[in-house]
Amino acid sequence: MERPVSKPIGQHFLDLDTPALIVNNSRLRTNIENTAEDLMKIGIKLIPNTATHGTSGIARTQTGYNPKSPIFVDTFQQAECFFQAGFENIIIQAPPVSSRKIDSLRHLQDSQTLTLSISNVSHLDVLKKTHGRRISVLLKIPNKSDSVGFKTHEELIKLIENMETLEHLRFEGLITNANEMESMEQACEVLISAAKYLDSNSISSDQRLLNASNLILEKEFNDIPKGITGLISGTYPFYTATQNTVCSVISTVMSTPEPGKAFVDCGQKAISIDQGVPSVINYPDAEIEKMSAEHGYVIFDSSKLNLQIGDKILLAPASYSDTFNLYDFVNIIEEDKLQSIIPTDSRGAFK
Amino acid sequence: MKFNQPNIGTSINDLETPSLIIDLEAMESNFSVISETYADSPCKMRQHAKNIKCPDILWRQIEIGGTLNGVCAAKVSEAEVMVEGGIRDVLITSEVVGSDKQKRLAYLAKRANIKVCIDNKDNLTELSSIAASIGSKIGVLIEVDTSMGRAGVRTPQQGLELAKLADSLESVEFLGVMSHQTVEGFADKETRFLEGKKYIDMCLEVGKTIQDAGIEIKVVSSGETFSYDVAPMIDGVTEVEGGTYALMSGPTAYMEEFSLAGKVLTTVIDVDEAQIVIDAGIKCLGGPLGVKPGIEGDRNITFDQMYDSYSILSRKGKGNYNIGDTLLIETSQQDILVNRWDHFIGVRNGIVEVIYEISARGCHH
Repeated sequence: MERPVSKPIGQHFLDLDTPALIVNNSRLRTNIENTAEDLMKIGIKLIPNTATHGTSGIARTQTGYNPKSPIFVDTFQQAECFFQAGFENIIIQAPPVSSRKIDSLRHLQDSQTLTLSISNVSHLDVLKKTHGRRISVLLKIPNKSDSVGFKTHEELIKLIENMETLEHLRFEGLITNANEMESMEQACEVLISAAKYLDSNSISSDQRLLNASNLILEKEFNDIPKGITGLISGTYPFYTATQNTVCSVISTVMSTPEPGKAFVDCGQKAISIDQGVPSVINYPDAEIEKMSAEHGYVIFDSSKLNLQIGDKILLAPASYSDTFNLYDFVNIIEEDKLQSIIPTDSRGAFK
Repeated sequence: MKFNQPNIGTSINDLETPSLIIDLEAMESNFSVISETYADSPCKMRQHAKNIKCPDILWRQIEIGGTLNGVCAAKVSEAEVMVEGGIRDVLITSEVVGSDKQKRLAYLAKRANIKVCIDNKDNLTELSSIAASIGSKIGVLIEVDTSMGRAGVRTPQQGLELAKLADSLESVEFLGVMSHQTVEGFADKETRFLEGKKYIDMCLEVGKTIQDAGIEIKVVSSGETFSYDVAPMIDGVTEVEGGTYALMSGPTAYMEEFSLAGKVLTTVIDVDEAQIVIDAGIKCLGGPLGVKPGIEGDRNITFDQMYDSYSILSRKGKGNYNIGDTLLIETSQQDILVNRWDHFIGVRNGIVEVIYEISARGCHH
């Protein structure tokens, strides 16, 4: 696991051992509060995708310290982490393909609510074998950006009727993933159309959830059509429109072999480049050219900037989710000082 | 959070997925290639720990042979894990910057034979001063940039100036020169030889300039997996920094003497006539900038979209796949993948034989 040289609470954030993942506390809180308010105004419930950061500390802020407020995770092991951390209402994205996965939620209590998303009739066959505890079920609806799910309305009806014969299962509603902004409108349309069809067959879907992490701005929320009851998002706490980033990785210059080139101690093992190389926040004249596994290559105009060995650069990750997954700890910063260090509880919980 | 690991003796078919698997027979075969290549050579392998991050596995190579009983590490914290794992000779293949890390390095040098790369006079002076204050001595090698355009001296003269300074300082021991290099794309043996020799010769040239000035060169650490068989044929190279060969990965498959030993076991979680959905995504596989993995035994399936916790594969053939089937993923960039996992599941003939903790996982510092 990570082995930084520990620094005391109150230390200036630039003195942290690098590479270090930092989150600005007040900006994080502002984003969380503003997003919840924006969605409340239009009558949509915000369900945090806590798999994005994997930390119960941030998740508690997102849920207003209400353990019954729902959170969304990707895997069964992530659910186990958050159940253990005291969250009582968890939606799992991964479908159950073996009853062992559900059995693996060892710490699940009767008071805790488990909701599973399924996309194939075989998943229901697995759920049939999991007697002993109540499970709420969301049915996944495909769209242009994610073609996984129940493709016809008739399939839905058949499945729900089948589910109604099982005492321990409850049909909760519908869910669809909109992985790109462009697909959001169409994703909402197919979801609402499916809900209307069910309604016309006297089946009510309590939840109609749009899973769209890229949806973060108020003006985008206003485009969500009526009929969607909840938005699942993971990115919104870290959104930034200015240089005042919420989440970044601090890195140190370790070599300046040529004018205009610096070599830093943060590479692909310490920041995700799956969605592009990070941007340099604190030196606008510098940029990341590429990254090896261990190091980053910074290029800059040497007539404007003179980076020296030991200088600290702040990198904004292109993917928050994968970057949090690379760290065991998050350094929480307030007024440029280290305020607390919180664990990424569900890092590595892939199963 | 710690999760349960499978019992020894479990069948691969009963493993929870996704799991990071090592085919032990394939890995040991790779280690034997190294043992045989270096058996009669004064040049030896110094296996890179950054790819494996597990002292127990690095010890397997030392036991099988061909090494100088030491390893490379990319970072100070990674070197600490190796020393704690009983490996007493570690070369850190990056510059170490900042008094915190230098102090840590100097203390580590009291416990083991520690060497580090340098390319800057101020950094070298600080290192010596901190080692002096702690009462240890750190071995130093001058990094020579031969092809990668990253850290390292650019000319023999720069190397000589740095060597003179290192030679004059009390708390560092100047040992020699080192370099990293790479070859692009699928290279045939002739290309590997030509490219490998060209780059290693650049490193040797810096060493020769230093030696001609009367400063002894004891170590020339160069070569990587792609030039593992070139380097020992070049006079003057004392050690090779190979890492990828242990588990191998898709882009290095052109080196047929090595087998792919590291794979990710995944389960089909949804399927239709055009696509397969599996339970392994970016978080456990990595997929930097579009370099996608493959599926063992079926080239008609390709990674189409990778999400955090699942991937969608396109299928061209008529293969019969069902929900619950398991597949083995051939990795695309091994060391960033390994860094995401806590354990390797070592499998022989389909049965779990050993579970290795990846104890240097996350050692960025």
